[in-house]
Amino acid sequence: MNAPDRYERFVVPEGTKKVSYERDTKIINAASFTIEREEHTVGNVLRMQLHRDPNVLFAGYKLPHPLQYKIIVRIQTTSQSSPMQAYNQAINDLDKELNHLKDIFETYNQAVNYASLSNHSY
Amino acid sequence: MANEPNSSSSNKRFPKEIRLSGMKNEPEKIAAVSSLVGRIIEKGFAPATQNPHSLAPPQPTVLPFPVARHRSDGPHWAPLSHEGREEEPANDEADMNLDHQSAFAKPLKRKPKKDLDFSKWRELLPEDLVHKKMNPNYLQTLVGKRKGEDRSSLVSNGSRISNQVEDMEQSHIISSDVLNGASKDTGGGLLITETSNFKAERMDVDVETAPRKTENRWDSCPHENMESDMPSNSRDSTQLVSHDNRISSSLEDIKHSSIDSSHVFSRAPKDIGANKLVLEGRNFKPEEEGPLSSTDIDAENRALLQRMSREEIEEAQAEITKQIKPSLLEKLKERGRKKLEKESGNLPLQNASSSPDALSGGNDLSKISNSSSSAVKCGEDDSLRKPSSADEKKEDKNRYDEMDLKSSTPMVSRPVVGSSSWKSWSDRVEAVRALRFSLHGTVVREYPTQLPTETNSTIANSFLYNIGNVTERDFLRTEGDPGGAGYTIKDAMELTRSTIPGQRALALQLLASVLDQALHGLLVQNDGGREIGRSNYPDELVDWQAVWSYALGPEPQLALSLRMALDDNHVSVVLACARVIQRVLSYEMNEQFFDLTKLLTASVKDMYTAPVFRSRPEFNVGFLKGGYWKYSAKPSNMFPFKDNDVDDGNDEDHTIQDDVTLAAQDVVAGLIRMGILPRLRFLLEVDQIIAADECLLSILVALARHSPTCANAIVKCPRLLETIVNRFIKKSTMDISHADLKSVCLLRVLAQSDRNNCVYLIEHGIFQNALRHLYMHSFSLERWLTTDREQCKMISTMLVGQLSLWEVCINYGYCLTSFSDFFPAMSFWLSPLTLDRIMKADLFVEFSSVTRQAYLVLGALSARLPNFYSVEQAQDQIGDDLGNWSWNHVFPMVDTALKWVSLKTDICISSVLNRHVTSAGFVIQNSYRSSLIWVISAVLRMLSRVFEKIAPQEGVTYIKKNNIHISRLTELVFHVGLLIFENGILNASEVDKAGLAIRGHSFVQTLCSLRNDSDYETSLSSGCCLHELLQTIILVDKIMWSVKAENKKLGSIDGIGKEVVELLDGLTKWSQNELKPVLLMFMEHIASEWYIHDSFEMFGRGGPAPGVGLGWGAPKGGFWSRTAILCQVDARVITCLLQVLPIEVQEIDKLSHQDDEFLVSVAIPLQKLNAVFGICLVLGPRDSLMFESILSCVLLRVPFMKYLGLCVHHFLRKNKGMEYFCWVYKEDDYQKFSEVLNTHFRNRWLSRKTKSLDKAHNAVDNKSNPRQNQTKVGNLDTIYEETVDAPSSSAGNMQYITLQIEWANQRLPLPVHWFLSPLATVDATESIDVARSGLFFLLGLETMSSLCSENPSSPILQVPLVWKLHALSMVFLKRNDILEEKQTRDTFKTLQDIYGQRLDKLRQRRPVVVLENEKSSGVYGREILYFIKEVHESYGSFIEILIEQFSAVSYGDVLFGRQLGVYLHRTVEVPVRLLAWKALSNAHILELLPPINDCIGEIEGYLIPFEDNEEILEAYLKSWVSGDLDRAATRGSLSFTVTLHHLSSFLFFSEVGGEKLFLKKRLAKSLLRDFSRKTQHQGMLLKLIRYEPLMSRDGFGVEDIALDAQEVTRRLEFICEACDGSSSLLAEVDKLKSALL
Repeated sequence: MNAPDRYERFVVPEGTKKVSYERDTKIINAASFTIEREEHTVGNVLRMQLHRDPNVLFAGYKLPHPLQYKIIVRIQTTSQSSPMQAYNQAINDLDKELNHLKDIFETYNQAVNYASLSNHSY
Repeated sequence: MANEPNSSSSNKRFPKEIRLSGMKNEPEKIAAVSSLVGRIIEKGFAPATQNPHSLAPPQPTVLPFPVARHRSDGPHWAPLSHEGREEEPANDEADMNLDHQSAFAKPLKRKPKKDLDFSKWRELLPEDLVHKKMNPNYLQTLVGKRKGEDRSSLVSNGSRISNQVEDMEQSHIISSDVLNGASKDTGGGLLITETSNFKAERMDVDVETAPRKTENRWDSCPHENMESDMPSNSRDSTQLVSHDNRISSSLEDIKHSSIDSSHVFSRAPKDIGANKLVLEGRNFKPEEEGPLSSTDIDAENRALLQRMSREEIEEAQAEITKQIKPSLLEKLKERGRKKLEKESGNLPLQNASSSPDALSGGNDLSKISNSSSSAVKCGEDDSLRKPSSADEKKEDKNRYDEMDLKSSTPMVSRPVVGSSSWKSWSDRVEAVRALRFSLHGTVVREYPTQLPTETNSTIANSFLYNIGNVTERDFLRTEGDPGGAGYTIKDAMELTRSTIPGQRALALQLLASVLDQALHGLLVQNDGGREIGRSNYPDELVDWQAVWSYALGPEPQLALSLRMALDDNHVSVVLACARVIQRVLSYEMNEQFFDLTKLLTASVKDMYTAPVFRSRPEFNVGFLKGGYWKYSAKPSNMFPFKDNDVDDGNDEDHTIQDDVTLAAQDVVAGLIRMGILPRLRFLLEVDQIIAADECLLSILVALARHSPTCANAIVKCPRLLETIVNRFIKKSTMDISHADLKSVCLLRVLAQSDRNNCVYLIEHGIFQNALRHLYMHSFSLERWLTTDREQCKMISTMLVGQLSLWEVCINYGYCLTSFSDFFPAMSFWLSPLTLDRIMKADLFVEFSSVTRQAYLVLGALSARLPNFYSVEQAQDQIGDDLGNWSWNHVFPMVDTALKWVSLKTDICISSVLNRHVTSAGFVIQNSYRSSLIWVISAVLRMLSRVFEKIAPQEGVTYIKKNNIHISRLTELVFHVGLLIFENGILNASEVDKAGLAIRGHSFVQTLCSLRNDSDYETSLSSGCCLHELLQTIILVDKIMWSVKAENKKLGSIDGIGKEVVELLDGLTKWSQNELKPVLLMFMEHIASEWYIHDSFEMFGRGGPAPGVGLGWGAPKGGFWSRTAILCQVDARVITCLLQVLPIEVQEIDKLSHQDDEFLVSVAIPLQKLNAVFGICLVLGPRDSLMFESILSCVLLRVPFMKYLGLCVHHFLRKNKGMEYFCWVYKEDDYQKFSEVLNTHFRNRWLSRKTKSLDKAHNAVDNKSNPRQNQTKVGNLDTIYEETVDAPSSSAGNMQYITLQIEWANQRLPLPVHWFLSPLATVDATESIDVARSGLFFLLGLETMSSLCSENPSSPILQVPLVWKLHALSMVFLKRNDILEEKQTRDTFKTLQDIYGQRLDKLRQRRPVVVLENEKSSGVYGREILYFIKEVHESYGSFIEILIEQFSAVSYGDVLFGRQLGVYLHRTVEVPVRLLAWKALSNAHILELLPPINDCIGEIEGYLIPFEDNEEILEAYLKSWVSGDLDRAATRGSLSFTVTLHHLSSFLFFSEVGGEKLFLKKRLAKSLLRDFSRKTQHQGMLLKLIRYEPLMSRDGFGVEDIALDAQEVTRRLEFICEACDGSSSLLAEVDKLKSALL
């Protein structure tokens, strides 16, 4: 009845940024990123990627509420890095990795397709 | 059982009979005998034949009486005795016949019976509860406990069986060890299977899922059979041995499961051989030598054997002989033989018979005797009974090793506190089933057995009789002593439905006397609290608490029988039935209780008696106990047929089963539902049995006391009240019968329950009629003296009843004007002038009881006085009847009252008090003194009520109008103050110089010494009196001060002299020295008393609960015991005294900053603090106002807060280990803490539950669509355990709606850990300040408590550490941001450190070696923190949430990490530790835990002893292999240290063999394999190999210590060995070697 519209889940409303950054004042090299209209899919992947970074001391995310379609990612790094840097790096790495995955998949797919095609022709 | 082709029928007749009798005796085990013939056990009716063991019944000379049975009792219309005869053949032919038939009989499957037999309470529990109880963790603990339990329940035979079980169990443990991780569940499942089989508790869920996982390749029998296979081995063996077969098939059963599973799951078949050997060796033993085992098991096993083909059997036999070493075989044989000898030494009967069946039969005999000797000695000879006694137990250690003393002698009521488990309670109740009572209600122990010298078979025959021939015991026509054998409660129930009226009456009388005995026994046991076992008087050995619970419990269906008996045609039956009901409702005991509580001062309210239970702890209140109380039976279920019952035609919706179910929840509710009220009305209106009148009225009173619903039902019942009024109230004559007394009492109770009832009584003139004696009589001394003694007593009781009825009306604010009418009659009682003559006539007790009540009425009237200074006094009056007492009446009344206080001047009073012999020469009796003290306390109460109205109140504007009055009143107060001195009530030494005080024993001192009197009445009355006195003194002081402050011109009022000036300084100031010892004494009292409420709600729903009948079996009576009343009086005295001598104010001024001095000075305040906490724990539902005043006046005052701050300060200075932080709270902070906590505690603990939403919803539903709801009407609604609650303010309103308090919907009494609530409550609406203040408060309390070394009984320290740690964890869950500010962090950290220290202390106190019996009761190793057991059974999910929070937002906060680290502490119970580790590992945050040095408590706590739980070790390994630990290793966090330590010590230090060795090797292999894949793990692995746990240094895990090459080589060798020759792994080892050496 008064459930939010479905598109609310993935359409970022006008005037809001997809990602916002807020430095944590109490802890050094710590910040929280609010990512709008995302949920565990991105949150967990991002967190695990951040965990791979040796400079990251803490990386966690949470969904504040099931009906608030955003996640909050908290990052704390060593002094060699900064949360923003770690975040960007993680995103880039993920991007690369996914692209790579996609490439492999496509190559393999083509190979299979080709094989099946050639099978057919015989 | 007839499947024995080879044994002749004559050969086996005897043992079989005996065996059968054994089964009947052990109803728990009947389920296991499911294949036996003819056991039809009906739903709703417990096995009818459970008490077979007995003496020879009287030989019936006539045919049995047909037994009237209830219609729901199923379809056998034949005379009942046949049912029994099937099983107990009377002669050979019957036996033969049976044998033939039984070959064809199909075994009937018994319905699975859950857990407890005696109580369908379990079944009444909501589903989820049951499931929770059955979760694996619970079962695991069950298995852990199982040994002890099994043995105790099976007793002697059980010892053998359980040996066997143990073996089987071990074999399964082995097998499950063999299996890989995946098969873990199976192992557990199998264990459970066995357990459940033995206890006939089939927990379908676990049993069925578990075996399915293993695959059976040996035979194709479906795997569900496995559960039934297990226990059947012994029977098999029995038979096989008799056929000279050496190996039984049972062995195969086990082998099948375990070997198969190991084949299926194991990857290393080589190891299995060894395991198998062990396994089978263990199994082999009992079969080889011990054909003695339970026939229950036998029966099922035989069936299985039949199913096996010859080849299969042979194959199995061959397999076994092949695998067992001959030496082992010999050893086992030897062991078995020894056991056999021992067993037979105790069982002479067993020796007599040689066939295996006979042996097993004999065994069963011993079983009977053992188990039943706990309850009642049965017809076996004494040698059979003795083994269960404690002495024998010591001698025969092997057998009775772990036998639970409690269950072996359940009749003895032992202190319940230690053994609070449901199981032990159920055992106790279960034992009552077999108790036999004589007609006087005493337990029959020794039968007048004339042990026949015939053959055994006839003994058995003649001993056995079944329920059917209870009715055959005909007192007129049978010889001997038909009742001599006694009756069980079930027997009596059966008899109440006999067709012979005499038998029905007899049965009911029997029940009445049993319940009578039980009530008195309860009372004695409650009050005494002494070691009952030591008493010589046999009947005190009876566990009356269990008897009571059993009788009122679900099984006997007492309510149903009683309700039917009440409909009887025979007057004698009805009369007897009424008496039983009166006992069931425990009318007399409850009245006694209420009479006593009426005299207590704080509350005018009574309590309802309906049984209640507490709602389960919820997550959002941090699982803190102490939820809202709820009725055991939903009130709406009492009236199923509201308006639409006749024409609906849906009769089939209501079954009698509903009634029975409800009655099982709550007897009274059941009776009401079954329509007891109309029947009572009929009896009163039409039958008019004079003899029953009193009884019936008593029942009505008890019903009215039950709950508001019941009281309302009585009022609403048409013509009931009118009938009573017409018959008993509206009499023209003045003579008084007992029924009249009861009727007045009924009116009072009804009036109490609802204001409207009171109005009704007044408007219909009933009130005036009821009080006719007060209207008509004017009492005079002469008349009083001339009437005979009995009549005197009656009149005084009547007057007390009438006056208290009036008091109720006054409390509502009605009938104040009647004062002028009644005064003439009352005046006689009010004055002590004629006391000497009354004492001479020995009527003082009667006289004083009326006097006391009269003053109580005056006190109530004074409470209605308009406030003296109040502006609104004119507007106060509402309506005609509502009004205030006039001040004009007060003065003469006070003058008269003061005569009672003049203790010195009045000779009579002083002589009674000092127990002198009066001039007249008669001795003052003890009861006189307490009566007099009661009167004095009533007088003082009235005075204090008056003074309350004079005393200045805050926030009221004073107007000086009645100047004359003011001066008169102040004069009055002065007068009272002087009186207190003159009569030596207070011994104020300082006033001596003024010549006022009289030296010697003051009244206060007298009262104190009387408080310690052994006589209960005396100590209670003196306690009360002291309380009233203190209140009066405080009020006098208050008025004095106000006079001093307001009225400077003293001269105008002062007509008395300069003493007054001294008085103005305050009585309390003068008497402080006297009051201090009083306070000390009472604090000691409360310190020893507050425990009593600790255990009385331990079972939740279905267990003993507060409610009908002395607490319905709550240990020591709970709140309904007289001890509790005394306790509350003490509490009141202390609160009063603390107003005079507050906790800290004096001390705080002269506080030096010298630590030593401070530490000394803290002792007394600490004692006071403990007393206050003790008081909080004993507060009952009526005392919410008192709790509020304690909070605001004592605990949360700002000065006290400051004092706590100082304590923290000193504590930190004293404890060098703690980090000292600057304590900078300011005045404002303290103020804020006080306010915040005050509101929080009030809301949390004093809010009443408003009507639940669903109820309102239902009401709407009923109106809107009745059609839809019709189907639901009759069915029993369930009570929802969790309902929404909304806080409401508790206002102390004078306009009472009701004068009775329900237990339901409120929270008092408090749980021990109530003060943790600010930390543990997760409530979004609450501000952060609550937790902050809570932290401070807790730290203050803790530091204060630990500053003083000797305080043994502090309620603060008594709260289990688990709770405190849990509360700290809750803080994180609640708000992460609380801990962002420095101060709170410091507070929190200090608390963590304190608890760490305490944990270490506890750890060191624990013995290294755990005793065997402790192990069996679920205490493993060195565990201290039982989160699941103590806090909540689903604690695991809480931890998961907590860890999620940690991983998401914490930034790896150190405090949070420390807190989580606690869950990995070695003292935490295994499941929690495992869960916490897994959750941390899954969230990949193992590295976020702080290094081990930063964790709470000492390092050793996490490391010692070495971990040996394989699941945890596997979890460590898994984290290692998956790489979760990599970062932890680099950061050196707790998780890595722990893993390193435990894995390394397990691999290289633990001396284990067998299955553990296998595990060891597997772990090593996995580590190597992991290393081969991830070379970056090399460092970690090297650390692991080099690891040396150093105990001596200050740290553990000094990693890079130079190990000597020898040690390293040893370790590497072990690793090599573990490789099992795998070349790839050996290559890895070489790599390691090169790195290491």
